[in-house]
Amino acid sequence: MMDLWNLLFKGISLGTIYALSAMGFVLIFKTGKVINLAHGQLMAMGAFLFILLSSLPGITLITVFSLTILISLVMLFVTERLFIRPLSPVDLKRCIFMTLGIMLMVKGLIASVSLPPSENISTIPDNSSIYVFILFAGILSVLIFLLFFRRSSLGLYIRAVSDNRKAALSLGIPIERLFTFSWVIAGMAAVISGILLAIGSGLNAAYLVSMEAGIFPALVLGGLGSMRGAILGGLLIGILETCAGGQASGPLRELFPYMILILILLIRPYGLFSDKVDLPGIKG
Amino acid sequence: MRRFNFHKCGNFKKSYGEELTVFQTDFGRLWLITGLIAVFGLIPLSGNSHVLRLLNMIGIYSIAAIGLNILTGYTGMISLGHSAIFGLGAYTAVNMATGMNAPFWLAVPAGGLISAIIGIGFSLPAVRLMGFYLCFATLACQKIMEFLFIHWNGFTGGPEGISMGKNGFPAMGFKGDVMLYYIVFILLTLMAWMAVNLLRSRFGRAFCAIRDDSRVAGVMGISAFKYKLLSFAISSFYVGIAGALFSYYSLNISPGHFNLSFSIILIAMIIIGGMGSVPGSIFGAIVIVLLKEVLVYGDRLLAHMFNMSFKVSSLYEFAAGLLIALFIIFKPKGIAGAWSDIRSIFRAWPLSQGVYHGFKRSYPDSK
Repeated sequence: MMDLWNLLFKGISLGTIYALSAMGFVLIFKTGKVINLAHGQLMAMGAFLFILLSSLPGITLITVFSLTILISLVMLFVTERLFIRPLSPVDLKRCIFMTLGIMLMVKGLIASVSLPPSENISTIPDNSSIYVFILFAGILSVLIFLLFFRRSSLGLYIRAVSDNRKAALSLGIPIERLFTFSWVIAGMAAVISGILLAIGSGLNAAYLVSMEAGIFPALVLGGLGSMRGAILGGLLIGILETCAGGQASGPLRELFPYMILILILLIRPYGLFSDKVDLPGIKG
Repeated sequence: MRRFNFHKCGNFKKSYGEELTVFQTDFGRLWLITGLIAVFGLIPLSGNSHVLRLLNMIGIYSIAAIGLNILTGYTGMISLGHSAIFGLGAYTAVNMATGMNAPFWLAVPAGGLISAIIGIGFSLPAVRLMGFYLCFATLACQKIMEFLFIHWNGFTGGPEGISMGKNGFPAMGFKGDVMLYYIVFILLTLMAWMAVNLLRSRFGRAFCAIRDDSRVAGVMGISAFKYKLLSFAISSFYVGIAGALFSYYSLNISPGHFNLSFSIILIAMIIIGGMGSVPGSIFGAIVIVLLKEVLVYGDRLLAHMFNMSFKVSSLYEFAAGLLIALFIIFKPKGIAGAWSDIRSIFRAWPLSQGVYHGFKRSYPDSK
């Protein structure tokens, strides 16, 4: 019985992280109708920066964290300006190719720097209380994100844009600037969830590769255009993945999210919460 | 003797058939014949093993890129799983050749066929959905196949990979390179010719109709489901053949070759070369192979001149991603589009206002 509770607890903390990242994806999707396939790689980027920085000698955890946030803020901003902004007005297919390009770039950058082995890094205390911390930080971030989306004026603008782009434009909402902003916020969500995942895995560099595994099933399960769906999908996938990992042997666990993804696509492709998404610019 | 056809100063076509001809002018034929003579007559004589291996790589990637272009450029479906299909072709060919002692001419088509069958399975979850859902489905299939490549020891030899051994062409030295060169380029010529003719037939027009608007295509009596499956099968067949050739080309094939990054690099080839253009696929393959070669050369340069241990070639994926981004921003039609723009400027010169775009013939995406 204890085992089950333990698994469930781990699953929920993993699910919260997935939910945070999935919310970022949904935010971009809502504001700009961009399918950001690089989202999982942004998570990996956050984790990578975190691990890289924490391997520096004599550096505190807080400094590492704030440095990671700062660097990724700049990188996200630059990425949006250089690569996404020139594509507007949005054409979904070109955006997909562009995010694929970004994905490959981030992947290449990560692969070109070899990380130190995890034994050399000792800034993270290695005990089970780390999961409590992760769960706590994850829930806090999700709440902040939700508050931002529901209560702040920028969140209101974003919802307005996703509801009706033209009407929002005619009311004087600066759509392009808003998109830059939401791209950065969404990227930060991904980066923070990547950092939390990295902490949870004990700063293991081998984990970077399979990091983005859970995010796409969570998204499709929740429905691409719904915040509620993203949270619920993330939690469900996190719990399922951990429970299956507890039962099945090790390597199968990596595969599990993808099998769920195919299953969802076969049974309920539009997700739990979204009706058929109707997108301009892509048909068929 | 018939009259030669040269560039007209405008569009003087009188029937749809004229629009569909492969060569609108005799220049095209001339260039093709010169190109074929150069490829089959002159280059193998130059006798440099390294150059031949590069050319073989270009040929193999070209076949794969043509296959992906049929799917992505013409039918408008984005697949992230084509490197797994490529790998499937490779592993099938290796197993046929080493396990069953099948000859070359049997192992390669077998690789293509198995790939086509599995490719249909890949696309089944997603062909009834909108385009970008295919991304998710093929991504999942790619990951599952990668997992199988690593863990299905009997078929793939596990993480260390599997080798053609004495059946492979590298085992024969330089003679093997020349032989593989002829095989690859004869196959490339055949398959490019098949693709060009397929794409101007009923099937190709159906693919384009589905890409442009599947609802309208449905109204015109084109079954989107059927043609999407067909497109995926043909595309997988091409990529599988390329994979099978790759297994003969490479000393050792291991799961690391067939990861998600290679899928995106295949997509990079058709973006760089030009969506919806068969010659474009070949241009893209050339650029990608040369990119890697240039980066490896950069490695040696850094090591020799500045004594730096930094490997530029580890930035290969980064550079490919950057090329995707740059081409999507500045030249969405790729090299083929740029080439035909240049041609049409010259054709209309000096009256180059309102340029007649010759690229129309190769059905670019209308959006």
